[in-house]
Amino acid sequence: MTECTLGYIPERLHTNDKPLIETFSIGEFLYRRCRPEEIDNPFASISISELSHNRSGPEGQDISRPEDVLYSIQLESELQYHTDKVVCVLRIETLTLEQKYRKQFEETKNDNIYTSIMELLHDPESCMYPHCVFRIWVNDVQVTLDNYKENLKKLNVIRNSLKEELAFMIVKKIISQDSFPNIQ
Amino acid sequence: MRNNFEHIIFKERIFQSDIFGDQYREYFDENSSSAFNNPLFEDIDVLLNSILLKYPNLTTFQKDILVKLFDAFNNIRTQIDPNRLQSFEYCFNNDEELLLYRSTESGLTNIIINPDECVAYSFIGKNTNKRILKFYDSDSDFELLSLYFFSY
Repeated sequence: MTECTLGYIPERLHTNDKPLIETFSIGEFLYRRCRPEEIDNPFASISISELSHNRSGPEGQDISRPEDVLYSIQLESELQYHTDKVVCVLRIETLTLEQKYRKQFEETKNDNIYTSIMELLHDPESCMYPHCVFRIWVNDVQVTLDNYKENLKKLNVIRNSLKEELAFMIVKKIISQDSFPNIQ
Repeated sequence: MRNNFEHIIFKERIFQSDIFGDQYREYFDENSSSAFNNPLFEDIDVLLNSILLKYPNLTTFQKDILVKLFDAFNNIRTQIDPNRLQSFEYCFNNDEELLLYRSTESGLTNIIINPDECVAYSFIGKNTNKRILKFYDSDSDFELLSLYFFSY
């Protein structure tokens, strides 16, 4: 992992040599940067192909605060902080026996069976250690921005099931910019 | 737009509802006809037309489902508490789905009309773990779906 070169990112968020944490905890929070209306109705605005979050950390390990997700970690951007967004909080409700988040959905269409897996993975960035991502596969093909239209977008049952799963996890509150007087 | 005579017949019909007739009478006394939560069916026609005009790129499937749903909304008015007939919102999302949704004290209810072949109903409780996700096709019972939509 390369060293974080963004001076405005607090040292505590740098990955450096911190370990990958492969397990999650029931009740662990995920923080997502979003527009306020996304919380009003996630079905209206969740994009299944863009599912980056920060994790709060497993039990006993606070590795990020909600507001940390508002930092921009794009090297080529002058933007340091997303002042136009709020923090949406999701709560992990269920895990596998291995303490991992993994959900499976199926859809039969035109006599073909499609199986989709959604997994939550800790995916540290050099300047954002708590970064994690929901990764989605359909019949073993990972869903990406490039293949979304030909892949998941055509599977109405699976796509709506994925959205419903994410919508259910959202804690019904918005953490606004006003809550973070120390970061601007 | 239907005429006044049809309005009168419709009002008489819903007034005769054994369970909610009295409440409908109160409703007509207290409310104007400009809002959807007034049980005059011309409001439903207007709302349906406004959605069709706002989203001209709806697929044939979406338009057909929308018409069936609005017919069902009209038909169930004598079966539900008129206070449940609260106005709902609608929008079009990035997946080209038309959403009809209601956010209440109980939770968030969505009817999601996909571009083809599928309609989804979702309810996510606000203060409970209650969640419902059902799928429908064009031959489904839309009156039942409408009752679900207004039930929370």
